[in-house]
Amino acid sequence: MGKQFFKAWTEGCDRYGELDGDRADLYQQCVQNSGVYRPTFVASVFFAFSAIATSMNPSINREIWPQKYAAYLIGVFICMFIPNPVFTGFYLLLVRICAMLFIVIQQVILIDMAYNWNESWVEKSNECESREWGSGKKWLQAIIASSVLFYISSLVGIILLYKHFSGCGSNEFVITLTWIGIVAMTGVQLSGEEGSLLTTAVISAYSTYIAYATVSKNPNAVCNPTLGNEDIWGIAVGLTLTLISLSWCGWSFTAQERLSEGG
Amino acid sequence: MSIICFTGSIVVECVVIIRHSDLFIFCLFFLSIETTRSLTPADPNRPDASTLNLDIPFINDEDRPTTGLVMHSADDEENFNRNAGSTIWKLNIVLILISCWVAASLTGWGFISGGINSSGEHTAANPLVGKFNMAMIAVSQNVAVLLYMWTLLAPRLFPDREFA
Repeated sequence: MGKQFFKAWTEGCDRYGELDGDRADLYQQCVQNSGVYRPTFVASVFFAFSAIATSMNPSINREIWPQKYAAYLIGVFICMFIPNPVFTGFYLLLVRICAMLFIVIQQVILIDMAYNWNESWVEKSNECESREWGSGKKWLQAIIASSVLFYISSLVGIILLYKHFSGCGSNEFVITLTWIGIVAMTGVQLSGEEGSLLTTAVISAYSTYIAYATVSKNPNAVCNPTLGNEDIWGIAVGLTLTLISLSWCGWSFTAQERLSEGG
Repeated sequence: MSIICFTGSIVVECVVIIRHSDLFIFCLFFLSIETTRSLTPADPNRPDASTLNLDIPFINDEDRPTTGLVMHSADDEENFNRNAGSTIWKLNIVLILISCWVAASLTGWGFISGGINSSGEHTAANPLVGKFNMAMIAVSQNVAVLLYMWTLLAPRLFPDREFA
């Protein structure tokens, strides 16, 4: 059993290097990737089945959860003994396509969230104003303060990026494009009636974070001081953003239904 | 003896791998399941263990005598199926995309390549480093900025159309 397990997880990895050879790190990385593909593959299959099931009968979504958890865990256990090529073929292609789709969806969700945040605070301000004259001002001040905070963090971020990650053309290109984008967004937003400063500020900060994520993945050691370290915080921030957009996605799906039903 | 060593090293390998990435996946999986589950209201037809009256025989719903407070309307489930339920499958599709995105971001889009130093030699590999990964994220940044610009410019360029 141990041999079978070892063979399944290392199959195809010897094309990157040997276990004790010069490129042992690449070999190890290949095995680590095998560890990522299995649970995510089972999760994709699981959600595909539940998407089909719930499209036929939505109430299935809240039933038999212990069995569903068990099915997932059993699926992961079975996949531990399936050799690598099963995952690195079609599934890897699917992963790349779906991941690109999700990045776009996540950004739509983030932009929507930023718009809604501004709207809700403006609404609160109007509500206060209708009760007592001048009391709505503090909500508007809060909007301005948050915008300034986001802009300052973007500015500091860009300065730090220039300081630590410059040295090769690709990084400087990315960072320069980032601030040009921020200036352009702010200009367009301020010159028109649409949008709000808070939304622009949030998108600017997000864009700066993405710029950091980009330059920290540069394989050239000359302009990437984080190379060789595992970027645990980068992964944590990325996954936290995913969780926020997931919750927002779920909430707005159901909230919209309930609100439109009531109103 | 060598078999024990071998299985021991596999266990260690597993611990290392789990420490690296799988914990995140498991956390995300359970959290996403909790999200879908918390969106669905409790089943009105399922008896609660603490309020279950064993003096009443287990008979069909239609034959059961009506007792207790009315907490839900009877067509709660039907309502759910018709309204919020109709979008639940879309949420499941998004969850498929998220599973794939987690796999892609943790494995550097499946491309395995090490870092290079100033003289072009191979250095320590970082699972998240690579030209392709870098390009993907850079493109996504520009898509975000352009999307937002579009939300600002679209009503100006096409004043006749409605943008919700």
